[in-house]
Amino acid sequence: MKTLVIGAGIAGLSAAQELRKANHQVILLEARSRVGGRIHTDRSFAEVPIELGAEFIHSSQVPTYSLAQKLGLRTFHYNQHNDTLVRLPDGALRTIAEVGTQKQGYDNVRLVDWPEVNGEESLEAYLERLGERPIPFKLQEYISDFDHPRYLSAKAAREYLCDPSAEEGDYRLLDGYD
Amino acid sequence: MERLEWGPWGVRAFTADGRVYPADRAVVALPLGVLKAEGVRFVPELPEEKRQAIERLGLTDAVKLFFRFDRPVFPPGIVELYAPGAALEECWSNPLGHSKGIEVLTALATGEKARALMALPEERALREALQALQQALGQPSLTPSKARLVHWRDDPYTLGAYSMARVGASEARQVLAKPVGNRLFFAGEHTAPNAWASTVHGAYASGKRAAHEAIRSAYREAPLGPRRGLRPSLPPPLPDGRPAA
Ligand SMILES: Cc1cc2nc3c(=O)[nH]c(=O)nc-3n(C[C@H](O)[C@H](O)[C@H](O)COP(=O)(O)OP(=O)(O)OC[C@H]3O[C@@H](n4cnc5c(N)ncnc54)[C@H](O)[C@@H]3O)c2cc1C
Ligand SMILES: Cc1cc2nc3c(=O)[nH]c(=O)nc-3n(C[C@H](O)[C@H](O)[C@H](O)COP(=O)(O)OP(=O)(O)OC[C@H]3O[C@@H](n4cnc5c(N)ncnc54)[C@H](O)[C@@H]3O)c2cc1C
Repeated sequence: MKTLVIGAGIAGLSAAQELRKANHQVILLEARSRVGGRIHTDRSFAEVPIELGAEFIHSSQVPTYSLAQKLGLRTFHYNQHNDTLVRLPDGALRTIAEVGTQKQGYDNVRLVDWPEVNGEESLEAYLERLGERPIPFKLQEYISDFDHPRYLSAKAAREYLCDPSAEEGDYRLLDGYD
Repeated sequence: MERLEWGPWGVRAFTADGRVYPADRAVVALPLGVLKAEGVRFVPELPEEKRQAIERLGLTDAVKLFFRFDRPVFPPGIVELYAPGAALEECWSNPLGHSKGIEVLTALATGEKARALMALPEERALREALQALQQALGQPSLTPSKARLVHWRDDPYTLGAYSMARVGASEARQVLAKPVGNRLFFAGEHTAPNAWASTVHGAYASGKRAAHEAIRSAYREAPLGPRRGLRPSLPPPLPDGRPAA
């Protein structure tokens, strides 16, 4: 059984690995002279590696976290609690831990008590509909990672925030994602 | 790869330098940006529903900026700064820098802010981003020894940072993940469920999912499998008249 895999990013590489396990003959086609795609570690900029693409493993509940553990890769945990500063509207810098105790809900990850979304409304409309309510850090981060809430699907954002793997903090692969 | 032909007979990939790779099935793990730009031609083209989903699902504009400093910048114990509403909202330390007595900060700009930075010549973009960083940190004289920025929008093999569930596109990733005609199977961050898309773990899991779909499909059509002898017609001849492989 012969199977082509087109693109040697992490998706193509994991597909190729599974196909090989099932005894498929695999031909992996890649346009660049390197594998990894949007995983690209640079070691020339500074004394320590920088990540031009992916940088973090966003949860300990995802398969790439177990994979890194299995491979014995060194990780650094950003707890996003007392190691992360938030800039308040008045310019003051406080840790998330401090803001969390002041503003209830700020460090609530899963939005468990948030109402359903109305069809395909925007995240902006959804938040407006809910009215005054602290936006948890994890949702703020989602917005910062993508675009203004007026462009984002509220339904998809809620699926992200309610996922069982959602947790605070990020892991960085100290010696490079590649 | 430039062109992918598919049909009941199998699949055939054509590269820019004229090579042809025939196979039974293909796992397509190309980035959404490449699919949107039709950087690869499917012959026959993908079903309408798939083409619409490719168009509907958004791509995030993102710029990553790197600054190297000769000494630590964050207070002890701090590795990240989040400044909602500021010109640069997120920036974090490469913690390995601390052991070397230096600091390497990475900042991420998305959306309007990324589009504004991408519209500037690189040097000016770096200067403006530095100002934003100085402001967010309240350290106006902060000066890096080195600075660099990257975005993946102009990279011909990526053409955009990562997929984004725009309003109206909450089902698009599901459609993009569907196999076509027992021949094409789809992987990539943009085919992961909304909760996992746009990430490495989402892309990784999607590759496994697509591979398993291809393996099951092969088993169903195998000579000794449940639908024995289903193996269909021959591929069409190659365009230059060579016999089909
Ligand atoms: C410690 C801390 C706590 C915060 N808590 C809250 C909070 O409880 N509720 C809250 O709405 N904002 C909160 N913010 C976010 C901050 O106030 C946003 O910059 C502000 O909501 C942007 O609104 P705007 O009208 O200036 O901008 P616009 O860009 O005009 O925003 C329009 C809408 O988009 C939403 N929005 C835009 N940017 C963000 C963002 N980065 N994060 C979340 N929503 C955004 C806003 O809710 C607003 O309704 C907090 C920020 C900090 C530092
Ligand atoms: C700036 C940035 C920061 C990110 N940060 C994170 C993070 O912190 N954590 C996280 O989990 N994720 C992060 N991501 C997302 C993550 O990098 C991607 O989701 C993931 O790497 C995508 O993998 P993929 O295999 O789907 O695609 P890709 O890695 O893009 O792989 C596709 C492959 O196809 C190849 N290709 C393209 N065209 C052709 C062609 N015509 N013929 C043959 N091959 C072709 C490409 O060269 C590439 O190798 C980030 C992404 C960016 C851009």
